[in-house]
Amino acid sequence: MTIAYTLPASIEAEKAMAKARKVNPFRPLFNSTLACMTFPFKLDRNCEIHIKEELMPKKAIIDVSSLLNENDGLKGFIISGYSKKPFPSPLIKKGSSTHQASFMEINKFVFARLEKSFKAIEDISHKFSL
Amino acid sequence: MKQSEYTTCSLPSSRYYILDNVSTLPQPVTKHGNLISSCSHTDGVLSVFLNDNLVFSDTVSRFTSKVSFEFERILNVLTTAIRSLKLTQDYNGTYIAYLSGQLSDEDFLNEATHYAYSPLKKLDLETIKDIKILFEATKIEFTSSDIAEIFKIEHDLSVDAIRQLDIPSIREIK
Repeated sequence: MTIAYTLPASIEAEKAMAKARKVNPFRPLFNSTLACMTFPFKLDRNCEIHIKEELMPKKAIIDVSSLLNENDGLKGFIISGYSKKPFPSPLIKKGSSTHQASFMEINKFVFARLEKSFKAIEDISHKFSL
Repeated sequence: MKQSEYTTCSLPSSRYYILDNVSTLPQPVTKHGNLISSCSHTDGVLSVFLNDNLVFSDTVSRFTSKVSFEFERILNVLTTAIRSLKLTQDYNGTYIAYLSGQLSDEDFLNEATHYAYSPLKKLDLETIKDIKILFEATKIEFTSSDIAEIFKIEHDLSVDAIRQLDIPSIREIK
């Protein structure tokens, strides 16, 4: 199980679980690689996504460096990506000791990338030039 | 020359002084701290000096056409952004209707197709300049996915464009 906190990082999965305090859907895209319409999203404010169901066959389609194993995931300040199916209504429940959060199960093909890591991690990365 | 006789406009790249009624100016030389602009009555040449060094000289007509070209460009970028944000807002309304069960899967997919677009796979220099104009004109910290949607480009290209720019407001999102 690998959880990525620093850029660049991405996951590809058949099904993924996402958690965020702010969810932005974007306009659909015609994806030439997948040859279908995809539904982009942006997860914001302390968000995470992890693989619930691996791709079958387990082979990266969008980015060769994507994480592909079950329970692999991303954690960061902003995560963006897209899926073949629009994500359903989020379930809102306790997400941390202080805040509620939206929990979503994103079905069909899911690609997600870390767009902005946590500020503390960014600062450490800059300090030690990681 | 009185302050009211010229208009000051701030543009992304620099600061220009547009002189109005050049032929009627009683004194064709004006001073703004160390910045001195002079305007010749005979040939209509506008010259700007900073600390006694000539930093800009051009004919008034060419200068004004350059300024209007830049304004037009800024206007085009802002129009593109507003149109894109309006479409996204409308799409979000449709999406909320779908999430709340007012639209079936099939109805939503039909509606969504109207908003779908194919992102560009190439990034030209003009688009990078437009992205810079958008950041500087609005002072909003757009993320790379926002930029990708506004300019209808692939996400990787928007990340590349942001890397190539050097604006304080977007350094954090690189």
